[in-house]
Amino acid sequence: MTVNRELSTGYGLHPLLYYAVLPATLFFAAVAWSPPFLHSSLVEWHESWQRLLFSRVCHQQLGRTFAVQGIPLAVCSRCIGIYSVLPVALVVFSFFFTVLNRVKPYIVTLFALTSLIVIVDGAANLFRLWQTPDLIRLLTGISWGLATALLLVITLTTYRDS
Amino acid sequence: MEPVESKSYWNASAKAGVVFGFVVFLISTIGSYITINTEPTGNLFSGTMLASALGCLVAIFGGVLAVKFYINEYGPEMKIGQGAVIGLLTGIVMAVVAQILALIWPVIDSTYIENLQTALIANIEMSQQIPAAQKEDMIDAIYAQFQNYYSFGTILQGFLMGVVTYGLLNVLSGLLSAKLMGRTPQPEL
Repeated sequence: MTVNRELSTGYGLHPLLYYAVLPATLFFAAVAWSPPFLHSSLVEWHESWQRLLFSRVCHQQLGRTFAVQGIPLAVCSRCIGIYSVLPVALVVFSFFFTVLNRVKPYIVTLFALTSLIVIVDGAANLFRLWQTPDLIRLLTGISWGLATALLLVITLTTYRDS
Repeated sequence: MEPVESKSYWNASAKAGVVFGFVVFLISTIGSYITINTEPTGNLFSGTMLASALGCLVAIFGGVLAVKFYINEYGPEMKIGQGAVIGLLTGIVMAVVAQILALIWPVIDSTYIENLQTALIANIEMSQQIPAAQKEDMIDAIYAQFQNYYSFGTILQGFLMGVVTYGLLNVLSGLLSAKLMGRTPQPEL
């Protein structure tokens, strides 16, 4: 992808983005969405490797997970927002890395802010201060996924000597 | 000519991996005991699930600590790719340590597996989210899962799942940490 190679500023995207980060995010998104298309019952879902894979990073509570034809996804509504938007956002933002590199402090602030929103909302639901609807959880997940993609793009923007 | 110092990632990765592997195991076990000692309510949001979410939040800092150890040992000059590799190795060590401790703990507390199994089944029986027709199958699945706790397949599956999740999480935290805490090596003149 020569469009992301050296420009007049000498900045470029690290190959890790294409060979590691993007494939990993695509893999996780595909696995998170896969259970309704591969399993036909709740028991199969519970025993699936997809659910086990994400069991270390997501509570997978049935009442807070979207389902397709009665079979839940592998992650909750917040996490599916994160995993779904991450690969798409990485691809889109990678075309604007020179612009994004100039506004790094704002991106770091945005990431901190969206992280705080996720933590506060999660804690509030845990301690039953309020009950967030699934759509709002999805939106908080999408916003955190977008902020993470921005952070990854600026992290993987490196200066290359010509 | 002076010998070139070969830099190893393993020292930093191993130290951070052991620390966070233990922490992740601790959080997971505390979550399980919360499940065991809580009256069943039918709410599947148990202590075990809570531990999963917290464990993720904690596990991601393994790569940060490993990069810090590496910088303390070899100085701040490092590439982003090195941070990613350090993070990946840290995640692998975390998965190994957490898996070993998870296998040892039921030997220390001999009633742990039985109590956890009973608590999970009690919650499933009271759950309104699971159709009645599928509850028996879910309970049978839980029984089978705990019967095979020490089987090679279960251990291998747990280890591989840990490597994938902790490894990839710490790849991201490792490369972020290398960018923030490290310094790009200057080319030799």
